Amino acid sequence: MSYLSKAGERFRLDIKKIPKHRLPYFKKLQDKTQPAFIRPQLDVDLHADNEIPKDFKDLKYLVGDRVIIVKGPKQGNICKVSRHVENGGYVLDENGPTSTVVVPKEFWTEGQKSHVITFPKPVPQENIRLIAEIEDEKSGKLKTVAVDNLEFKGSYYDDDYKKVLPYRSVYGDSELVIPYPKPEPKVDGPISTEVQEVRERTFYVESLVNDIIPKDALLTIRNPKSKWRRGKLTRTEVKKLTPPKMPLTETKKAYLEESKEKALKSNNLITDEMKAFLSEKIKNHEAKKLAQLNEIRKVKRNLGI
Amino acid sequence: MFKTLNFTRSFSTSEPFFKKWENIVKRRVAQRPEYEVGDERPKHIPNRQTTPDYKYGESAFFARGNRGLYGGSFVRSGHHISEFRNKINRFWKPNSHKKQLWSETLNKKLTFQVTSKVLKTIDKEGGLDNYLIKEKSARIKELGPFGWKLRYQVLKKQEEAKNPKHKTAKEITNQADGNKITIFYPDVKVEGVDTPLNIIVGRRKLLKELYDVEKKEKLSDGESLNGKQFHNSFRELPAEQIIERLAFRGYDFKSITVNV
Repeated sequence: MSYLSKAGERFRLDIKKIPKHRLPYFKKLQDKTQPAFIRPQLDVDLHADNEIPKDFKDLKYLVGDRVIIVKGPKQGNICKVSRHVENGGYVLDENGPTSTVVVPKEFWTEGQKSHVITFPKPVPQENIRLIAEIEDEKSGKLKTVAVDNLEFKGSYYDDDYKKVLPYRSVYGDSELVIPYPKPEPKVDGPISTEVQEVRERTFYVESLVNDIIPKDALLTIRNPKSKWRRGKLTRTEVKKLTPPKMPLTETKKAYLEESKEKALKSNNLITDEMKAFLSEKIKNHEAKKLAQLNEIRKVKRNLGI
Repeated sequence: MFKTLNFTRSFSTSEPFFKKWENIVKRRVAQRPEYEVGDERPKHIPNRQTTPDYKYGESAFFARGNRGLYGGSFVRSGHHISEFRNKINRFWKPNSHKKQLWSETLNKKLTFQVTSKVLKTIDKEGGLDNYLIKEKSARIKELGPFGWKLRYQVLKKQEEAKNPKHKTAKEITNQADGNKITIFYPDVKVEGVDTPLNIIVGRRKLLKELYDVEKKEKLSDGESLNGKQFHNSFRELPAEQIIERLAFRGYDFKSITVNV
């Protein structure tokens, strides 16, 4: 079967559909089948989406934040977050925990000289706390504290990140705002355009009726050979789409001719004799009516109405 | 659901039991949209249809009836009733047989399934063609898709016989070998050719000759001509004009003419 086919899709193993009590078996299977240098360093939740979140609320600690390790072998060390990894992990600087594994030669990276390598081990979110500098209420001096939990409320435009962000504050005290760390400045590439140049307005709509863009230029905007454009019907295609017509039989032709003749014939069948008869009838009727009217007039005059 | 009582008496006291028009008339037939040049092209363009649409469509029930002359009869159902009045379902199939019938217009035998009742009707009408081309609405209903197809073939042939394509065509015997030759366009006078031409090929073959000539002409000018381009520009030309154009291009008529 082709790999493009989706015929067996319904029967494929989907980890997300497996009940929670069966998950440890699959975790064990994963550890068994993967060598130590490929195995994930963190506990993986097989049900969850393990991508790096984009929302700052889910990230909690950003790159450049100072954190203290509260659990594990390097407990008490203060480090900086250097990057985020999948499965909700934070890779810290050289003060953070590391792991040492043996790597076969096929998987060596450039500049590697030994089979045994040490690299930073990602730390889960629960094992670290943010370090912030807060003003002391009594002395009024700045003091360094570890924040147990954070809350994200409200919103403001952050000029460093160039987007609207929620305020990050100490949990339970929304006035104690801890600012986000400043991101590393992005270096302009060879084909990048300056912000001001992009923001400069060059096109103004002058008329809603007449289009300023010429018709020939539309082809540069839209794809004339798009597969979604079906095009117009040609004569040969119309021929293909229309079935032939049944020829008329002799009886049908004769009937049609007859009905045509009938329609052409005038319905005015009154002869001169009939006309004379009718006019005489009308004249007699008129004379009779006139006599009646005269009689009524006489009666009215006598009564004085 | 409930019909109003109707006391008007019908012409016949007993209806023919084998004809169930509701099986034919109440079929749901899809309406075919009418297309014109310049309309938006539909998703699928089928091959060209050779027969006109049958008004009542095809039957999904007893599909065998679509492939023969069954005269509007279908499978009927009822009960076997035993001596003790026990009822068992059964059905009656139409009394159909495979027959060869001669068509006068088509000048050949046609083989198809036909019921004995239709055979009787054909005898009464005086032949298969008369049965097929009768104009009564009941006949059109009982013809079915197969009968409709035959009707088209017969009527088309009759039309062609009445209005032949080559009205001036002549048939002569070749003096050399005694074979018969049809002259489709006799005594055609063209500018540039001294004697009148007796052309023994039809319009289609003339177009084919013209294509080769026109293509050579275009190639000599350094241009190209494909079949589609030629088709678009010369498809409508009548035969006389094709011959004129061939003469204009200096075509040698020897291979497609005959001397009487």
